[in-house]
Amino acid sequence: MSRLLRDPRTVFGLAIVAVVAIAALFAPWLAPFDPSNPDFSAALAPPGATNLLGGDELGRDVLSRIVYGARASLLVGFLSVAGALVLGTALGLSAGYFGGAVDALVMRAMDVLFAFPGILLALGITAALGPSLTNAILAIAVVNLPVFARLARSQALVIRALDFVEAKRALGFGSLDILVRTVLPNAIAPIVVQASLLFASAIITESYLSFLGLGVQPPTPTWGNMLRNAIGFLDTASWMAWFPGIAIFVTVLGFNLLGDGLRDRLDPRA
Amino acid sequence: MTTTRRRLARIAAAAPALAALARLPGASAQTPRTLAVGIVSDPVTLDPALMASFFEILVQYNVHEPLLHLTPDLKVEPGLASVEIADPVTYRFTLKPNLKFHDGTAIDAAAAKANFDRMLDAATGSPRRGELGPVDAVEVTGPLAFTVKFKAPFAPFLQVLTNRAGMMVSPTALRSLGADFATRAVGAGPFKVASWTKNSELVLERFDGYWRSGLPSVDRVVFRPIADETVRLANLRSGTLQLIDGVPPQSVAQLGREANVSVRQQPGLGFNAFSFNTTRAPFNDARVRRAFVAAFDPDVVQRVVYFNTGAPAYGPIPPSIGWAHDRNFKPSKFDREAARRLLAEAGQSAAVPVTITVTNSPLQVRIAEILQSQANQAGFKVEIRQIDATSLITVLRNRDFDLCMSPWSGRSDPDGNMFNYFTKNGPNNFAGWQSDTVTDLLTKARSVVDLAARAKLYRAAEEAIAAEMPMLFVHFDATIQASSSRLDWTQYADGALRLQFAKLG
Repeated sequence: MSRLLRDPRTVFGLAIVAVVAIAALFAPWLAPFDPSNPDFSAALAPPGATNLLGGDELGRDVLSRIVYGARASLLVGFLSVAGALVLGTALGLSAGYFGGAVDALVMRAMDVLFAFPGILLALGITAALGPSLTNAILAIAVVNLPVFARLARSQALVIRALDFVEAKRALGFGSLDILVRTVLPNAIAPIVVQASLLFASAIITESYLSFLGLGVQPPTPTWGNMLRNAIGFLDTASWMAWFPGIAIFVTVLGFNLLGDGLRDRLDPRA
Repeated sequence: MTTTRRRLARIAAAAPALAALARLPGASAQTPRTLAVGIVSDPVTLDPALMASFFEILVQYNVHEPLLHLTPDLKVEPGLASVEIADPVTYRFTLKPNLKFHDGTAIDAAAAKANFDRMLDAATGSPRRGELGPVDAVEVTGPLAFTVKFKAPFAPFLQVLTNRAGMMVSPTALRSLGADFATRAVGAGPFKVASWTKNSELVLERFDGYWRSGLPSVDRVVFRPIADETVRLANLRSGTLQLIDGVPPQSVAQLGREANVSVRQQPGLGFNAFSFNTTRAPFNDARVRRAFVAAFDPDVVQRVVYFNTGAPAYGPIPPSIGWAHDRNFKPSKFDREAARRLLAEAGQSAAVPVTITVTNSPLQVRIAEILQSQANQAGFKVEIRQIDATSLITVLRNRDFDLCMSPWSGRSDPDGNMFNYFTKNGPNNFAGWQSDTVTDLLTKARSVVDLAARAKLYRAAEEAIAAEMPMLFVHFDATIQASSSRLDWTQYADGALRLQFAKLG
């Protein structure tokens, strides 16, 4: 950990992530206004003393909406990546460890998922299941599933041939025991690094979906649907686009810097 | 990130325009005067007998010519034909002599009869059949003379003929083109179809045989469907387009300050409204519907969403139909306390959960969010459901909603704004509202010719509708369009473009 913190870029990334996380956790105390409650007299109010970052088209406070929007972004990012990580790793490790028919079946299924461009697959899933927070999480998890499966499989292929695994097998340990207690701990580092990097892309995908009206439903604020609301007002109220855009940019930057730092530290191949 | 996306979108939108310019033949000697028009969406068909989409209204009068012409102030004038009303059920038409369709087929009484017979034939499946009312027969009485006879008086008939039902197409082309007629329509309008690449461009060329001599003054018209309002505006500003439809209300003020574009608006013919599902709880109870209406402040929508363009709506007849619109008609008042009382009367003690269904149009979502915030303060618990535009008609027809947007583009006669929505079997009676009183009033209004008497019947129908509120009326949208300041053109209330009168300076 201390070596990790010696890199200023990683520290910067971690600081950004911490700020976003604090905003998400303590939104009700940090936000000056209710993010969903319109004050029609403040519609399109420019940034000023009352609305620090201005008001949106219905007079809702942009700052409050950005603070609350961090919740949707982090929630979707965390749950979708965690879901993809757990399921993808389990599938990938089994495929790599057992080989044969299991490998063929799992990996061909993953190839099918991989064959679609990520955003298109996510769009298709949310369009089919209906727009909501849960479905956005599900869609992004499915998109990321093959990434983890492939990575875990390649790790398992290497590890299962190592002497200590052979030794455990010779001693009569069961497959599940070997997979969970021996293969998994040795395979986990690059998977965690991958997760931290995918976190950023999950946040962007959520913004895409919300931007297209397929993510979290109004009036719940997300950075994506704030941008969507802003496009009609780029001439007249550009702050509506600037601030959520900056929020996405900075958050993604933070997660990428943190992910890079983790990779340098944890991934032996990097 | 946003600016990049916008720039990319601009480039993407400009690319086909550049390609089209490169293809223009007259680049050497005489450059044809081309007018490029940005529209919201492609027409579905160019066959006037089968048109059923709002977006066709921008294209239809340029390819097709109706028997009668509607002036910008909604007066009926002779078009391809003049008409004499012999008695309330007999209309005698005389076609102008020596007129031809785009393919050279003569426009005579036999062609007109063929057109009417086709629209009235149930096998055609034409929405015009309903619009034409109780037609009994169309008789040819001379080479250029024909008579339309009705079973019962039908007052909106002449207004109907200024629209799709009056548009004559070439019977020869109908036979020879078959199903292709929908994309290569042959009519009698000021322009003929040169080519149509769906979702890219519809190219029209000047028709030399147009009946108004000397018109049109532009040589070609290119319609480009561009769904994104921001991109349409950007293309107008850059000069790629000379005329655009669907200017968002929030841009009107800004555009008014720009020298090389000019923005025009006038009261439209339609309404923006939401249908209550009166066939299931909670909106099967008129008191709950009236509570929802009382909880809504139309002035907020007028200011925040429409930037004071158009006017708040309280019924289906817009101010543009002056003889039937009642300026003092204001049956509901924004009153949160009254809304709470009505809910209590209806026996609703807890917050009433309802879902508002809208398409993902930013404007409609904005209205839904305002409705949500206002209704929640009066004792409802509103959720918003967004659907894509193509599923709207299915959701409405299946009554898979509590409250769903059901806007109407409007007609120049109040019958066109009410009969479909409020009669018991009306195709747009999405509310499922069954009122004998209103059905009788609207049916009777069709058969009365005197305008003052008709206006009385329509106002009585509006009163009866307001007492039960099967719909929540929100707004009479203005028709807002913008053009290059080099373009001289006439705007019509319904947003239709009649580009035979347009001149490029």
